[in-house]
Formats: sequence, structure tokens, C-alpha cells
Amino acid sequence: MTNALEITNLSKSYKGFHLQNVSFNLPTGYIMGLIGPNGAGKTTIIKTILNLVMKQEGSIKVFGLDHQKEEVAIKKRIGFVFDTPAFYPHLNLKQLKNVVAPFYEQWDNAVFDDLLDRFTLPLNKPLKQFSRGMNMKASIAISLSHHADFIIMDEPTSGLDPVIRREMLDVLRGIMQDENKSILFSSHVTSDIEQAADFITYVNQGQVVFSKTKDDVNESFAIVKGGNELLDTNTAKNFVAVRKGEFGFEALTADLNASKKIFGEQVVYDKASLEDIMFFHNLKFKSTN
Amino acid sequence: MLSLIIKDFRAQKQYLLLLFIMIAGISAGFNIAQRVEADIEVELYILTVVLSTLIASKLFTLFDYQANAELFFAALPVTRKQMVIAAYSSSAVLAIVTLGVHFLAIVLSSTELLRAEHTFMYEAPMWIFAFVALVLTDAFSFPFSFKYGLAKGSFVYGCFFITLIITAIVTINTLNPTGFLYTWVTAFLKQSPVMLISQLTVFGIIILGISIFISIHTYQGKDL
Repeated sequence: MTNALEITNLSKSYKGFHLQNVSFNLPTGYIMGLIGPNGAGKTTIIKTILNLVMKQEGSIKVFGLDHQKEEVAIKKRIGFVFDTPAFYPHLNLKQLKNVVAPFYEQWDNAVFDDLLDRFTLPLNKPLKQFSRGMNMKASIAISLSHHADFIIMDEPTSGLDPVIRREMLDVLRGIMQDENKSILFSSHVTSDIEQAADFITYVNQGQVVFSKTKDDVNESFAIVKGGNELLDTNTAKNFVAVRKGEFGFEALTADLNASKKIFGEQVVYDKASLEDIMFFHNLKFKSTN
Repeated sequence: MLSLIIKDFRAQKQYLLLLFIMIAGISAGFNIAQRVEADIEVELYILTVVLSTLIASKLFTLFDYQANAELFFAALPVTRKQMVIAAYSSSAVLAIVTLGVHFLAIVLSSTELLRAEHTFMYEAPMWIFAFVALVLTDAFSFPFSFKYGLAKGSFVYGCFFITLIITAIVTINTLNPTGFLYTWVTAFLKQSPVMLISQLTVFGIIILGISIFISIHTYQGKDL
């Protein structure tokens, strides 16, 4: 299995923020969701891949090539969508296409027109009159019109209404009909990631907490609920974080089998959503800092 | 890289048209006013040409800044080095075209119908001097823009420029009339216009080369 993206020990420091030894791989043909709270480092990772932010340590390979040495060759095969579309607002989509298309040898007008039809985007309306959803769709149309092999999206669904979000996820699934395409998209809307992603990488405070397949995440993580009397120093070690209430505790386990061995049938096991996983990891980070 | 230069002209063509109409109006106005007023100061016209062309040459940078488009274009298949060279190139092309429009307006407004004068406005050294002044301004201002962004960069460059002018004035006023520097400067300025312009052009090119090198080096390491 080849990797569309390989990140190894990536580090970057800003004033008050450190991205520390970030490592994960995205195999070709899959969708990876990059999740984490605001300020966790998702955008910095994406910008570093695109060489918009300079790494201090580590290596990034896209299609097996060094992302800095082969920058242009790599970017020709990448489609990108940023959380805030930044185009010249006085242009319409036809004019914007004329500006962007010459940068890509593989630009395909038929694909672009088809996507505009599908998204019901007007060709001759200035972009400044577009809603956020329309702007985001326009970004996606541009990013997909040069037959990119790797699509990178930074918060593509944030601020969009559920209908448009669903449409976008359908588009992502449509792209994945081609098994040579890969997608990395960041979001803090965890339901989107749960619906679309094959791999999940969770980042918090500049560190990768885990990078696993969605199935692994579903199998290993669980919410455990039980009476407070079951909790002691030893049993609590089994959990990522614990929230105690008057009538019992609720905790996140990262090893469901181990928890079952310890607590057996004395507790209730619920499926952990990505939101639960983020919430409890955040509790852990807060308690350790 | 050509795509980077062309994209500016493609994207801003409607504003460029408006700009060139204004530029033509300025020069034609000066030319016609010269006939009425009889005595337009050459320095005032040169200053107007240089300033208006300078503003015009920064138009693309201003639009990119306003639209926050830097990130988008940096993510396209281009290198930072190409982005820097394209910025200098499109600024130079825009400066040349703007000077051309100024000149064309002088020529067209000197028809029999308008009967306007053109006298000094037809002199080649004036236009070359204006271009060299623009090249030098670009050479000094671009590294600041690439380092700090347009808004902060313009402020820092403004401070640098004012400091430079004050230093120059103080130096001129304290120069010993028999000293080496004074003698050299006087001799330099007394050369024939062709020699003066040639030397200024070579100086401008060297400064521009250094400026491009600094800008590339600065911008390649910048986080966007």
C-alpha cells in the first residue's frame, strides 16, 4: 500500500504554540479526518504540508516526494480548500477560472462546468455576492477541476448549513470512486468526519493523540458508566479521563477489552462518539496542564 | 511564473482601465494647463508622474492584500521564488505601461485641436529618470513588504525612507565644500544627462538585483 502523505516527527514552534513530533500516514485511496479543538494545530499541519508554513524539524512526503524539493510537481497534483475562501471579490467564477486554470496543465473545463452545474453555482455573478456555502462550493469546484490526486481541505464544512454539508460529503464520496484519490480534511464538526473518513487523526495541543482507522477507533474507544464505588487509583488508570457525578462516573476508555476484564458486567459500555473522545481527551489535557 | 504575472492583469483589467484613464487625464491636463498657465514647473510634473506611476505599480500588491489572496496563490503550483520575481516583474510592467500612458496622453493632447504644449515633457531623460526613480523605490520597498506584509511593511519602509531623506539632508548641509564627497557629488551631477542617466540606470539595476535577492531569501522562510 502506497502512502499519499507521510508525516514524520514534524515540529514547528510559534510564540505560545508548539507542534511536537507529529507523525502519521495517509494511504492512497482513503479519506483521513483531522480532528481536534480550535488551536490544536490542524491548520498549521495543513499549511506545513502545502509549504505555506515552514517546518522546523521532521519530514513531509507527498506521493513519496519531499514536499519542499518537489513543491511544484506535488502542488500540481493537489487540490486545496481553505476555511476562508480568499479570491478577488469583484471577479465572477468565469473570470476566476481564467485566472486559476493556467496554473494547471491538467485543468479540465468540462469538469469545472459539470461541478458548477451540480452545485448550481452561477458563472457570471461576482463572488462578493456569494454566500459562505456558495464560496465554499466554488473553492471545491476549483480544487477538483484539475484532476487532483490529493485533496486537502481545512475546515471545509464549518459554518455551513446541514444540507450543504451533506452535499459536500457526497462530493467527497464521489471523488473516492477513483481509488487513486486521497483526501485529508480537518474539521471540528465530528459528525462529518464520522460519516466520511476512513482514518482519523486526532490532534490536541500540537500533538497527535492517535492516528487510526475509523474501525479501530470504534473498537478501542468506549464510554464506561458505573458507580463511584468501582473507581479507585488502579481502576481509574484504565481511563483516558473520568467525569464523576453524584450518582456515578462516566469515563472514556481507550482499551475496551481491558476495561471489560476489569469491570465485567458491573458497568455499562456505550459507543464513544468522536465528540466524546475529544471531550475526554481535553479533560485529560486540562488536568495534566 | 508567467501565469503569476498574467493573472494580475487578467484579474484586475477593469480597474486597470479606470487607472489608465485617470493617468491619461493627469498628463493631458498638465499639458493643456501648460498652454494656459504658460509656466508649469518641470519638477512638479516629474513628481506627479513618479508618484502616480508608483501608486499604479503597487496596485496588484494592494489588491492581493485586500483580497487576502496571498495564501491562495502560494498554494498553487508555484515556488516562493517565482512569486517574488513575479511581483517585481508585474510591478515593473505596470510601471512601464503607466509611464507609456502618461507619454501617450502628452502626445495625443498636443494635437492641433487642443493646441497644447509639450516642451520638456517630450525629453527622453525625464522619462528615463522617472523610471529609474521607480525602480529604486520598488527596490527599497519590496523587501519590507515581503518581510512584514503590505500594511506593516509600508509603515516600516516609510520610516526607513524618512530616515534616509533626513540623513541625506543633514549630510548635504554639513558637507565640506572642499571635501572629497562634495567634489564627487558635484562632479557626478554635472555630467551630461546621458552619462548621468546611464550610471543611475546601472546603479538601479544593481540595487534591484540585491533587493530581489533579499526578498527571495526573506519570503522563502516566511510563514503565511
